[in-house]
Amino acid sequence: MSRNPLDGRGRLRVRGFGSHEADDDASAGTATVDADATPSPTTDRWRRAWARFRRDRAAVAGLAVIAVMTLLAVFARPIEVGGVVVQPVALAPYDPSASGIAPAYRPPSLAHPFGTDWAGRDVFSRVLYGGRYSLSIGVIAVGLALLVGVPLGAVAGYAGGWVDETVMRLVDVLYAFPFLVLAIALVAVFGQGFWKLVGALVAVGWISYARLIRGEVLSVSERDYVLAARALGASDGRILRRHVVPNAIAPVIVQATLNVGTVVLSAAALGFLGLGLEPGTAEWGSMLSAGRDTLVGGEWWVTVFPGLAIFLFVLSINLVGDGVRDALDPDADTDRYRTREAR
Amino acid sequence: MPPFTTSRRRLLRWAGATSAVGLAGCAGGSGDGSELVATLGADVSAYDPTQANDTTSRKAFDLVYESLVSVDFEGNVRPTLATAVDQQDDRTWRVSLREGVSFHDGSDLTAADVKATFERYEGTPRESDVFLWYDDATIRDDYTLDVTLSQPYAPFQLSLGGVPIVPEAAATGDLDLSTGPVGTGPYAFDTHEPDRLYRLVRNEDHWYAGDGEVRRTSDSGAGEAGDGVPDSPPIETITFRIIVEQSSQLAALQAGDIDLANNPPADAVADLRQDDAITVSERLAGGFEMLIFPLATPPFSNRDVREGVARLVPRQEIIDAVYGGIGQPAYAPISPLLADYTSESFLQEMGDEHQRYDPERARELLERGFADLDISPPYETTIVTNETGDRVRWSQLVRDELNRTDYFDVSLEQFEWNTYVGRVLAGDSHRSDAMMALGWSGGWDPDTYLRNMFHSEQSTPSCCNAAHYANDEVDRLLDEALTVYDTAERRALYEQAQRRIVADAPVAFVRFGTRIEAFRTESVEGFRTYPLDSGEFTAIYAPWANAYTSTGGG
Amino acid sequence: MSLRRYVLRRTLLTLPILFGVSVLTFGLVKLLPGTPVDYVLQFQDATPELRASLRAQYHLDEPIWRQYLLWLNDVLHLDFGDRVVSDRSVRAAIVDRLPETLVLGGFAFLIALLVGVPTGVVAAVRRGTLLDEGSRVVALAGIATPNFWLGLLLILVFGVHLNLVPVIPPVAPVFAPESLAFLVLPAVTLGTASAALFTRLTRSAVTEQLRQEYVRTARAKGLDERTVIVKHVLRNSLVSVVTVAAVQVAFLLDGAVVIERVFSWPGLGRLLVRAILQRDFPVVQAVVLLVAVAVVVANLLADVLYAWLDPRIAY
Repeated sequence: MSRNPLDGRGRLRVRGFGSHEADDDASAGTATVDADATPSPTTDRWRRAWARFRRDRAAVAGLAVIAVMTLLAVFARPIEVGGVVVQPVALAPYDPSASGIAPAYRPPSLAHPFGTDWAGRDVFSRVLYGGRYSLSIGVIAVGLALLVGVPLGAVAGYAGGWVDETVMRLVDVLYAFPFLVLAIALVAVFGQGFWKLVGALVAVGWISYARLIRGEVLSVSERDYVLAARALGASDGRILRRHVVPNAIAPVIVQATLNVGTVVLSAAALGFLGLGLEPGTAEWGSMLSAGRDTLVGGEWWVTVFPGLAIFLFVLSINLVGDGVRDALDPDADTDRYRTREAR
Repeated sequence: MPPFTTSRRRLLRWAGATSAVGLAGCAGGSGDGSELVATLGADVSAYDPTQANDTTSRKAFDLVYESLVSVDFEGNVRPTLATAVDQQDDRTWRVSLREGVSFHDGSDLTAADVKATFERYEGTPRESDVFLWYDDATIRDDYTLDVTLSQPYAPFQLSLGGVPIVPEAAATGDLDLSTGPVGTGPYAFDTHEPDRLYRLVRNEDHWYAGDGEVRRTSDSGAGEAGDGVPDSPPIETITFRIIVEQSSQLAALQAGDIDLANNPPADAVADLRQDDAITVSERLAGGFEMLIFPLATPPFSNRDVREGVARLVPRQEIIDAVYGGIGQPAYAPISPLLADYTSESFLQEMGDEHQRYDPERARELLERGFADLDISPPYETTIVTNETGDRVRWSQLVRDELNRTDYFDVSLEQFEWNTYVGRVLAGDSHRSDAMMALGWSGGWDPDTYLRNMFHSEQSTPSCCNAAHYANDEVDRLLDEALTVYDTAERRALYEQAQRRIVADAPVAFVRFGTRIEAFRTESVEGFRTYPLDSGEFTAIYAPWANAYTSTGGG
Repeated sequence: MSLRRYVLRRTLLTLPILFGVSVLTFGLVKLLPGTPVDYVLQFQDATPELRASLRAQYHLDEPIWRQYLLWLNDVLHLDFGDRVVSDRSVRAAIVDRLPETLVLGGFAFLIALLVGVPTGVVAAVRRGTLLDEGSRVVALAGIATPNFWLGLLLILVFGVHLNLVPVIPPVAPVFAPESLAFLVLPAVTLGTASAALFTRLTRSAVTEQLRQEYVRTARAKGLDERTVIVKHVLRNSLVSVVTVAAVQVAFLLDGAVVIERVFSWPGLGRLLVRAILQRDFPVVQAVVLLVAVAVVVANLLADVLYAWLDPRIAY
């Protein structure tokens, strides 16, 4: 992977003496001179990246934790699709929304490892089940944001000219608004609910990918293999799809991974402010907002456990993200992914 | 000893010499003055009674303004700025004003001020406070006024209690009440730091000083009031800290940062009672929580369905889980606070016949109702609520209960207050596909529990009949009862009206409210809970009600 | 291109951004359902005349581009109108709360810098040791912790159990010692994520600098380690840190919105959230605009600073 000459803001950056910008264009993959040839030049690179990732123990640990949390969320309660029970296992001992199954505000015990909340609901079951919301919101919101941001940014970077200018100005304008503030305004406009929440997060989140990939595309576009492909008569779309984007995508992947954590935190914050999902939903952030009232009364378990779940999840995602970055872009600035691009 | 002037107090504060914690004890460190630190659950938004639509603003200026008469803790009308209110005929009442009363700006109270106060309500958001009954006022002399009503109006005296008297200059434009309230009350407005605090200081020239007795109005029973009440309010400064979160209020109270929490969470009461340092004062209030049905939208257009839903409201579970066991289930609109107009047995009867929690009976009713309408369950709908914690919680419990049946698939929508009010009071609220969770505050008169919610003329957007319930018999009963002065007669009329309303079930009644305050035992002495929200701080100093509060201890 | 020309060019480039920001702010609020007229009228009988006069007052019947221009004109004269929910002017409401948020944000920023940067330097210098690994974990934890959760826990421990700090803001001006004492917890909460970020940034920036030729040269010349680090490495590392720091403005406001709620601190964040929910349009427009402008200006300053500090930049 070559060193990115751009500083993440789309500007050229000149390094001083002794910088080790090993320009391993050569190892960027054997350029496909024949525009019609099928085998991707990048499979090699991904395999090597995976090997690097595997060696990073913290990252692997993070991945393991996320895998476990995903499994717990999936198997928490049975899943029914159109009347057919697709997943019958119920790891959570109680229905997360069943109120009154136990006295309210009971401290952790054998029957209720995380205690009960104000409505006599089992907090343990709710925390397990709540993983579904956080995970799905995180993955879906980031996924959709990628679907919006990557094409826009790639086209902007490749096409240049007024297309580039327009998109980038739009990005600049949107960047001026603090993330959460914009999300709150959008939720206020469109209302609450799962898809509206996701929509708000996507609307605010796509910009970082657009900007990132535009920068990458700008640099990759000047590479030899791209020029060669163009000389051979390959169409712009094809070039974008098969040569430019695959080579430029790595930083975006890193950003996306890290952003899952940011999105989960933001969704939790919105839930905490009462702007997330329906009241009473077993989403970790919403559970924390209900927990606000209990701190003083001493019912610490209502606050500690959901917060711990969020913390664990986001921490693991960050470890994975760091690992992905080290694997794909080992010479990159540690935290250019966390700074202006971090949304 | 000369009292602290406002400017000197400000100087002290800015120099950091005072702190809320230090003054929570008795006769604080700032010398002469004693201070009570209480709370408000929201910011004060208006100082002018004609503009104040929220109870927070009203309770904030409650001690600054006074009315011609006031209603005490038992519902009796007591003379305040008026020494007598005598009925001349069906529509005319003669008001005799107290002499020697002055406003905080120094001007004297005369009949001209009273008339100006009434008339300036025209065209304001609170117009109906006065113009529901007021026709004209004739000034006979500086201290006598004849008020003419547009029709005989039974709650006239009680209504007078809800009209704070302002100086005539406010009507002529010489005085701008939007910069601060100016009244005759025992406390004068000092400062308001938005979102932080609202402060009142003792009015040293309050008319009660030196007047040891305050008699009742002629037609409300025997006995003298005002015995033992000091000439001047014992507390010099009242600082209301604006603390929105109930839990923060509680934390501040326990830490000693405040003396009185005005809205402690109901489910904390049990714990608080165990704490010797804190006293909890609780009183059945005039209000109820309910679930309103959009009558124009099937299946809620069907009476059986409505009763079925009403019978699925888990009232006791709600009281236990949300309100810490405090309060009682509601089966009819008029609060038991009005002992003259309702009774325990009547409420039980209404419950048995129409509203009490009974899942089996509910299922039968729903089955029948859905079949009649030819709708196949489950029916998808929502419950709309605002952010009030208790309301959100009981709505959740109702939703869960409804979802446990196969007839409904209910989701909950929570909105901020203004948006919520906009939805509930919208002209087409009865056609919306949502049940509305609402809390209603009545007053001392039974009409206030019925008219705005159940009279056809009060259908949204006029006022608050969000269901658009329209029943000729009920309308007639309510209108008649308003013009009848005899209590027993009115009671019969209201009972009939309630029977009809409860049977028709345009709403499901949930719970009668309670008012709760928690305060530090050693710093607050003599405080009592007033059953109506807008008069929450009445007990701080109300000679006409035999009530006063001091900061206790040394 | 000289520095001056760069600054000029960069400044000119912000103008279209500011224009876009104003359009977006205006448009976003227009999207909010309902109008100020609806709010005012919901408590009284809406006669057609009253409704018409209110609509005229808010220019609601004009074409949208005219509404925008009227609004823009007012804004440039710093007239933000009156609040919908009360009679007070928007500007007064903002001025009331601006110091609170600025002090909280500034305090948090200071904590983040003072904790994050030295930790990062130490971690880089002692690269590979337990200290380094430990700080990396702690920094990651700082980033992963939901700030409102942290705030709640801190209140629980220090406010309720240990009773070291008041649970509600004291009644004192914002610069009084009691207020600043109260602000420690919220500032720490708000600053934690930024501190973690600074730690990591500084660490990587310093690490990279330590790899440079000139460090080896300096060491070979016999300069002691401390001088090398402080005089050269640090100064060069701070370039990237400083520019990122300027960008934290937006980040801190996001945090402030939540933290002010947790600690009942009467700042701009609370005002904004309330106003959005209440459809108090003038307030929303004013605050969002203010914040966005602040962010744009901060970015501009950051770019200028970066250009000025790093002589190797080719602009």
